Amino acid sequence: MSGAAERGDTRKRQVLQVREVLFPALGLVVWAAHFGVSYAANALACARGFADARLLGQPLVPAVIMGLTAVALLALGLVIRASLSGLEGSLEEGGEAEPRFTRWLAATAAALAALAVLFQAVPALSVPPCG
Amino acid sequence: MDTAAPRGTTAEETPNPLPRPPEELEQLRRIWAMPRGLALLTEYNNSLIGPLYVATALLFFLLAGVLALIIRAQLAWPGLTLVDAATFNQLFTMHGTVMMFLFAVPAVEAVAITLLPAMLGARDMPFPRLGAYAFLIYAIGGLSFYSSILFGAAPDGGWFMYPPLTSKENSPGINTDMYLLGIGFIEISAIAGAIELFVGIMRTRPPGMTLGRMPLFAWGMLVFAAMVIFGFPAVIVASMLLELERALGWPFFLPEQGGDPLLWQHLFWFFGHPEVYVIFLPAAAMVSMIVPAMVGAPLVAHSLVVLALVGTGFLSFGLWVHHMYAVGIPALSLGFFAAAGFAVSIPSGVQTFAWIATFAAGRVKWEVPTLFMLGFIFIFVLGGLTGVMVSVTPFDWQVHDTYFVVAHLHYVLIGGMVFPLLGALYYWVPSLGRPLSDRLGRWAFWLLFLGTNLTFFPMHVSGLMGMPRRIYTYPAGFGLELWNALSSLGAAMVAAGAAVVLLDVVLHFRLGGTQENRWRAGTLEWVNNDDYGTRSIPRVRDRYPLWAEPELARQVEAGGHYLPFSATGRRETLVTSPAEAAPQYVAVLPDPGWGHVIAAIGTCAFFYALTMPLPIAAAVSGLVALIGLIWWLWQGTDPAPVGPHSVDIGDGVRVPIHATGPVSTSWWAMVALMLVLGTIFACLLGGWLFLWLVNGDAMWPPPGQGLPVAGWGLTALGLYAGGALVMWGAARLLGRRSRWVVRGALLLAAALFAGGVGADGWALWSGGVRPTLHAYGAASWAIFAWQGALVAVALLMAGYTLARSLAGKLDGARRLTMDNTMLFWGYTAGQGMVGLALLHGFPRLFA
Repeated sequence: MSGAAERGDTRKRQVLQVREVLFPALGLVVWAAHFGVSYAANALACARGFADARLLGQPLVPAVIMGLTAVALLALGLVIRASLSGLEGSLEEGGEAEPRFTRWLAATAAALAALAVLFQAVPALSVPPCG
Repeated sequence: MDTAAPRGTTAEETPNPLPRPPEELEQLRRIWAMPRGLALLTEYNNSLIGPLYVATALLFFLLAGVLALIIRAQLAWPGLTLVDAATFNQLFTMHGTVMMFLFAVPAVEAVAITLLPAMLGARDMPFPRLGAYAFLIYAIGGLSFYSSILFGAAPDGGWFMYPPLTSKENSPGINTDMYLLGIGFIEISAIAGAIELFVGIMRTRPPGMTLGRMPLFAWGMLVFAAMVIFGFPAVIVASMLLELERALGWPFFLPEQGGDPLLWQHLFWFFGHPEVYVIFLPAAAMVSMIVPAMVGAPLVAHSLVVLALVGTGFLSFGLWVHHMYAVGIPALSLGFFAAAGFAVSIPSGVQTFAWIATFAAGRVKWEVPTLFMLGFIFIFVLGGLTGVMVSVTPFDWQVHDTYFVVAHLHYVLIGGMVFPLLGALYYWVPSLGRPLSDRLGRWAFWLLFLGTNLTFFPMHVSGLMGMPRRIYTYPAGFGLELWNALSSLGAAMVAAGAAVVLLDVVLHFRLGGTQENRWRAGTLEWVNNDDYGTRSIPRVRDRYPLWAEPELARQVEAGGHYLPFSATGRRETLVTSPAEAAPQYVAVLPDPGWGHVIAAIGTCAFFYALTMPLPIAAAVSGLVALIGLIWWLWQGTDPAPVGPHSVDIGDGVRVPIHATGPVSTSWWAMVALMLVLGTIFACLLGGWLFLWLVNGDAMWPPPGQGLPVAGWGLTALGLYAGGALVMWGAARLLGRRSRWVVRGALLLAAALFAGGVGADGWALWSGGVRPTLHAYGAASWAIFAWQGALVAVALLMAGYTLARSLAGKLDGARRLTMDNTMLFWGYTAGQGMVGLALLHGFPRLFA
């Protein structure tokens, strides 16, 4: 293998390694984005007088948060699917050679994130935005 | 667990043949021998710095404990006047501040610096002088900070220092500045340590120790490091803004000038709530290491515990408003934070059940560490349950700022951190030297366990009866006498327990000698090690390598595993890939030197001179720190090629001696630093947007102030982009074109950046934006000031790179300095462009 090709191969392996390391955090990053945007949207609505505004006949703030929740859950579903794809056999309690452990961790972290997103969305259905 | 042997070898075959030539060990001993006399100060080896770090953290625990005893003596009975109200304010502020900033966080970092290299089979951490620098500024700065109470100059606004109580008007002395500058720079120590740990855990694990096989303490410290990188910048920003307000009159928190005290609370608690988990998660990870050894069985649900650590680390960033339920935040927003509070209790519960199940799965050894583990579970579960109670908003309104909260936080922190730490002391000391006394350990445990409960359980009652926090005395007749007397009695018991631990350490602890695997633990820190780490670097095939391969310790100690020699004749460690821990290169470590010592002394002097305030002394100290820093870098980073180009480390694995670019540890550290800088910048942008939200569009900009001039902004944008591009080009040309072309490009890039920052600032000034009149100007200039500071650092780095080139220390192969400078320039240009987009674009589009 030529020097340039070897360097390219090394670089590619390095990128793959970093991707495997970051993958488990992806689901929780989606949770953080959902949390941050929901909080910012509600704060903006209260500060700028949109508390009673409506969108397509529905109260604006809960509608926005439900929309954000749907997007977040969809993204988390994709993360779980990507984590589990391409791996033969069941992914159980880890310790296995990589990438099986990081994939397992990515899938379960995304599942935890989905639970946290749902937890977070529920108050929007029952609590007044700016009360 | 996967016990398949990598690379086709069997357990009997070692990566390097045995026996080893005796001169190998002699060479390792000679290379890693510590300097003697005064020069010992220049040593960075974790086997010296780690124990010193732990000892210093425990010293601060005792010092902060003394303050707590005075507090409890004052409150033992109504109407006592042992101390006056002003002194009492300093006492509780210093108690909380020292415990949180000078004991809890440094203590877990200290344990990690002490143990992780051995646990990971590394010879040392990848940036040992950074670790030594972090320790020195912590020790020198911390002791200077603590001594402020002797002169009545200690902070007195509570450990979270809310403005307006801490504004210049209400706190005109230097007490608040002591906190803002003193603690602010000690956070630099925490961040430096976190970067060191992050890179060390990701890149210096032994071959075969995949992420799935990594010890849980390393996982805990990895999450810790990430949380420090993302959480601590918020308190640094808060401190900077309040100091700017106090020193220069930039009104961030003064409502009459558009500021808002709630900005401080948001920034502080964005750091402050994760801080609890920053302390707890490493301690929980210690428990996850100790419990399996004390029952002789692997941790139940190991992978779920990893998930719990990572999940808690993330979710804890959604809890900061827990501390702000009573400030008038919209109901639905409170609901988000309450929901996150419930969500974070799930991973905490997972860990607790895993420990209980592990106790049930094995045969319990009723030794001192076991007692501390059980005590931890009891106290921490109680603290966790009251934590769920106070995350319920209406309940929190009832108990906010009462002793109920004091009880809760002490149950969480003492249960969640102090008990695991003391258990860890009794557990791991035999791996470092002579063990502690079993008899004294049992006395210490029972005194501490009973004393903690006697001190803090009654506070639930006094809190529910309405006793507020931070009062220096209280009247008789409200039914508070009994509960306070019990608390004070308990505090005396805790003090007795701490004294027994101290006595035990003084009488029995001695470093060095042959370490015994006293608890028959399964992880690598129980392999005999010396100043050079383990004799050879182990090949790992299991989460509990010493259990899976009973011969492993003997083989490693005989030098049969990887790199049982020094390939270059210098200090070095093996660097492996982040996920699979495949060997990548041998990193040469620097020799001991004075640079980081001088930099540490200069840094401390700089910040304390600023506090006084003594501007000339501060400038001189800053210069000393800078000289020390440059000397430190010049001596030991990016060394010239030494020894062979590559080396066979064993098992037929050949790795290079030198690396640059993304594979190098310095690239990883630079990326981690950029994450810290980016978080600081994000906090500044968030502050600007928060103040815009509370002021309203009509006041952004307020009458009398304008928008920054767009033309100058566009000029700055172009110059920043141009500077980064030229720097990128210089890096590309290094080794391909004449050195003078590269040097010319460096100078051109510097000129473009200098022009960019000039245009950036002039855009604000010529647009009529003024920092002292209104929060709009203050927030805008704060963003610019941060950008200006980074440009100054970028220019310094370019100058340093130029000097390396002129000294013949920079070429196509020896290019770490250039690559790091290029990365930093790219970040600085990107940050500048985002800042310009906000300051120029946002008000024009939305406000």
